[in-house]
Amino acid sequence: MLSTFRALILVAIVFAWTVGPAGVVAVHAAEGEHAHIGHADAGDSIEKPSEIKSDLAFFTFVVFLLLLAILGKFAWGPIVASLEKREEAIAKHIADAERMNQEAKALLAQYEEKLAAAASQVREMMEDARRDAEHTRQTILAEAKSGADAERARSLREIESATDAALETLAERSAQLAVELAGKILKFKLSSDDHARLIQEALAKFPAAASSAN
Amino acid sequence: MASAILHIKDAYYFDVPKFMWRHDYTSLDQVPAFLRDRHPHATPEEFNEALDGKILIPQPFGTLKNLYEKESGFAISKFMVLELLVALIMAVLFIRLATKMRTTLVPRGRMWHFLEGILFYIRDEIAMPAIGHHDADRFVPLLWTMFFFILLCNVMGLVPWAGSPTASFGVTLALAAVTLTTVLVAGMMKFGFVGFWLNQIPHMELPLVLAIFLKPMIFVIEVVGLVIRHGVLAVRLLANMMAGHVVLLAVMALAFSVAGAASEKWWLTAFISVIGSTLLCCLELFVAVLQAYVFTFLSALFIGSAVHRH
Repeated sequence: MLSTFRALILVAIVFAWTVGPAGVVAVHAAEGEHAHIGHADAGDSIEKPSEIKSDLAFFTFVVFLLLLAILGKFAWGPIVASLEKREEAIAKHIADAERMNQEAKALLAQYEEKLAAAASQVREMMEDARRDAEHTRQTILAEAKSGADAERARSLREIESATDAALETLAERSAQLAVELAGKILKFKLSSDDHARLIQEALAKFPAAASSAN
Repeated sequence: MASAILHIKDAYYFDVPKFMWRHDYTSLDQVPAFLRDRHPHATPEEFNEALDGKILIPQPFGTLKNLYEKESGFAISKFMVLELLVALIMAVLFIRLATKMRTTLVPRGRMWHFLEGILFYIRDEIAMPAIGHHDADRFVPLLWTMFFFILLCNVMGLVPWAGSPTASFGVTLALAAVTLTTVLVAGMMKFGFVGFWLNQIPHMELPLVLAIFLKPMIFVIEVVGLVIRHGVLAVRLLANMMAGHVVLLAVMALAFSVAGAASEKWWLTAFISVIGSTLLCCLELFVAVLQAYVFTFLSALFIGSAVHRH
């Protein structure tokens, strides 16, 4: 834009330079000499801006109406029709877009619903799984506990029977010792039958004393 | 004496630089008769010199008195040729636009968008508000034609060696007459002959005695106003175009007025003249568009008031 402007200025300057003052003087001189050729018999209104030329006015009126008619038929009519067509098309596009938007919204809602259902299903499944796991844990725990209890009971039982056996041995031994000791003291007073009977009596008393001591 | 204003007014020749159009009259018989008759003592050489750079328009339907006035019949003038040119340009442009719009929903290209934009503006921003949505469509083609015809006629004044037909009273009056005719015909078609004239009287609540006395006077004022309004439409366009060209001419004439003066004075004046006329041409371009808009807008307003009850 600016370069065009500069170029124009340059052209103007070059033009002025080449034609120069001399050219202007020559033109003026020529005008001066023959100024009257072409203006002979000039009417009063020739230099008035307000002069009305009826030919021109009539011509303008006719040209304008013809132009209006021609354009009306070949340009404005089709243009208006096309504009209306375009407006309809745009309105249709907008309506279509609106409808599609509604459909999309409906679809979205549907899918959201589905998603929500799926989510709740997943939650339920998780819940089930958790419950199952809990159940399994409880079962395993209970089994382990009962196993441990059984083992403990068995151990207790073994301990008890070992204790009983030990106590029996101990009683037998202590009764034997007592009898031997008493035999030594009473050496001759007791026969071996007496001896055995004494031991039997002592043993019969022992378990009762041992269990009450327990 | 040749007056500068003749360069703005209508003529029966086109003015171009002398070197572009030379006349080679060798005998007086070749010189157009009306010139020969008025200047019986001039030689062919003098005619050649005076007429160089003047493209005379052939006159099959009339005779001329001089280069600016006709003697009889129908004389074809420069502005008529330019109007035809404008009409041709419009026909080519808009028929092409119409073809493009018919074949594609939205034509592509800057030119077509530009034209469409103006058409839309005139329809939606001038016709619709001024005439009303119901009636506007009927008058939109008229306003479209009017705007572009005036605009192109105005802009012709900025085309080298052409001229502005709208700087002539005949043209602007004819255009105003188009508006006036439209107002009368549209108004009478809407309200009937009597209804249209009665509609010129604004509605007033008056006592009967006063009404009998006042209403005829108001009617006369309104009818005179109607005519004046349209006359002013013509004068406004004429004055704007004419004034712009006169100022442009005056600034350019600065350079001629110092012709033969000392060199530095000549250069200074020529510089001012060139810059001044460039700037004024920009202003002229704006005025050309503005006045086309104003004419169209006021026409729309007048038509609007004719087809609505007051």
